[in-house]
Amino acid sequence: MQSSLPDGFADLERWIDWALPTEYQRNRKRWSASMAESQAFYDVMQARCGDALSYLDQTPLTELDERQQALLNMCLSLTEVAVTVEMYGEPSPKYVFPIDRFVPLHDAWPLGASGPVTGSAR
Amino acid sequence: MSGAASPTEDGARRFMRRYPEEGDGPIPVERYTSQAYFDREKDAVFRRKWLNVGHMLQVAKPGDYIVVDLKIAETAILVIHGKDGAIRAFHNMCSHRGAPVAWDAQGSCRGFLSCRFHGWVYDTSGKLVHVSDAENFPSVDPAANGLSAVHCAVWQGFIFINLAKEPEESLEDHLAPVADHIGRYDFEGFTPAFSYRIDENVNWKTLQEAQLEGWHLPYLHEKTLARAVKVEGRQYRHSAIELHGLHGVLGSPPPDSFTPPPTAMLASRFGTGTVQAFGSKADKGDEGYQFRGSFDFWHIFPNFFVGLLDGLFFTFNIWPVAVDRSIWEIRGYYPPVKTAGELFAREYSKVGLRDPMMEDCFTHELIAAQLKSGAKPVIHFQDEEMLVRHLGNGVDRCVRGLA
Repeated sequence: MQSSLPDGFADLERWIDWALPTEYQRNRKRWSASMAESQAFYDVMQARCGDALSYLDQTPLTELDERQQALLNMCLSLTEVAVTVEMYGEPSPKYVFPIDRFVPLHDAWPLGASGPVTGSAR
Repeated sequence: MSGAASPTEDGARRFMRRYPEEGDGPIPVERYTSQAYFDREKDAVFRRKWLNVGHMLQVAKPGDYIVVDLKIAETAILVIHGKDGAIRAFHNMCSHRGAPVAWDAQGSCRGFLSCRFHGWVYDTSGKLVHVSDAENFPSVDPAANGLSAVHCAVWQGFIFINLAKEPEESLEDHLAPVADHIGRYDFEGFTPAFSYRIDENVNWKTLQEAQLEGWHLPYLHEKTLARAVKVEGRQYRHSAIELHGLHGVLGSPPPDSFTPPPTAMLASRFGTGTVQAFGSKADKGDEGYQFRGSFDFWHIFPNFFVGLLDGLFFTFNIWPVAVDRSIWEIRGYYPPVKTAGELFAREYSKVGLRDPMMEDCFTHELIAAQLKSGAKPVIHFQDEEMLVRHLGNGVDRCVRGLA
């Protein structure tokens, strides 16, 4: 079976459900993950995210292929799960507005929409 | 009134002593809950003052347009970049039967907008250039039936409108107290990077108030932002609060020592964002923007904020919908990203700004719901909440016909 990720990153394949293309989806994933799952993904990305970004930086952002985009999306999920691990210590903090009400509208931004972080899932 | 606040200025009530005209007493809750007061704000503030509706980067090319929903004035405003380069604003309303001429919040046209209802066509200067089935409209003079214009002016790329028939002052005059300060910031080289829209059950002033003081940072944002600011004991002290006419600014002091979490360090290897923006106070030289803190928050009366950081800026527009409902629009502007690493750094920075604002929203609705109880006739603002007090005072002066 071909990996969903670029060669050299097959070890991250088991985390592929974190490779989500929108902020909305990544935030939802963060909120629905267990603490153990969050910590495990965080730990593996602390070890591998730097390698992944160094590898991806060899290609202009707009020219990433599908597998490279998946790897980037996985890295972007670290920005969400980092808050769980480094700040709240829990995946779904109690006194916070959910992303369903704090609606990302990045679609409407032509320049912000270049690259893979487009779209809200409204 | 203006003047740089010194963080080392000794003694309590430093801002109350500098701005005695703002008072130091309790604030009537009625200002947040009364329908009659809200109705007066509508006329005395929103139908009179210049209102920011966006930035040129949203309508960068001729033919580009945005539609801004202004429930407070029961209209939607079309802002369009004309083929002649001018930026104009109109009520988004066809002269035929009142249907909108632009149906999307943002779009681009080739020089003409045509009503989807029956096809009347307007050019980008608002002129009615085609009346469908014209011979059957004997009384319609196209020259007298263009789009209804709204006063519109641009400052430093920020687009403002004024709903008054004849504005009492120019945009230049409205911004005069702050223009020389904010205008020193180098707004070149940024692109729209993110935007959010939050529909909240809260009065528009309560919504703004958490953004008008940093004192709550170590409390409400204990787990998020608190580490990126200076806290003395448990108290946050602004590096500056300045009042400039109806407007004002907060400076947020950089922390004495900032230990970025591992992901911030990782992000800073690949792009700029959190560490650079929050870690220290930037020095842009004598001619450049004078940072009051590691980040400065400018409030432009009545409902606009520009947050200035080193390497990024963001804006808030807070739109009243009803006395107990408001829309918060957030837009962030960063240098364009070219690599995955830069995008990662930007995303990390964005999430770091977003999550504390999600915490703010949660409190807004709880406060608004409870203020309605009538249990308390007043609330209180301390010295570090001077800019909060200043907003309420400014609105109240408008309502009473004094500003």
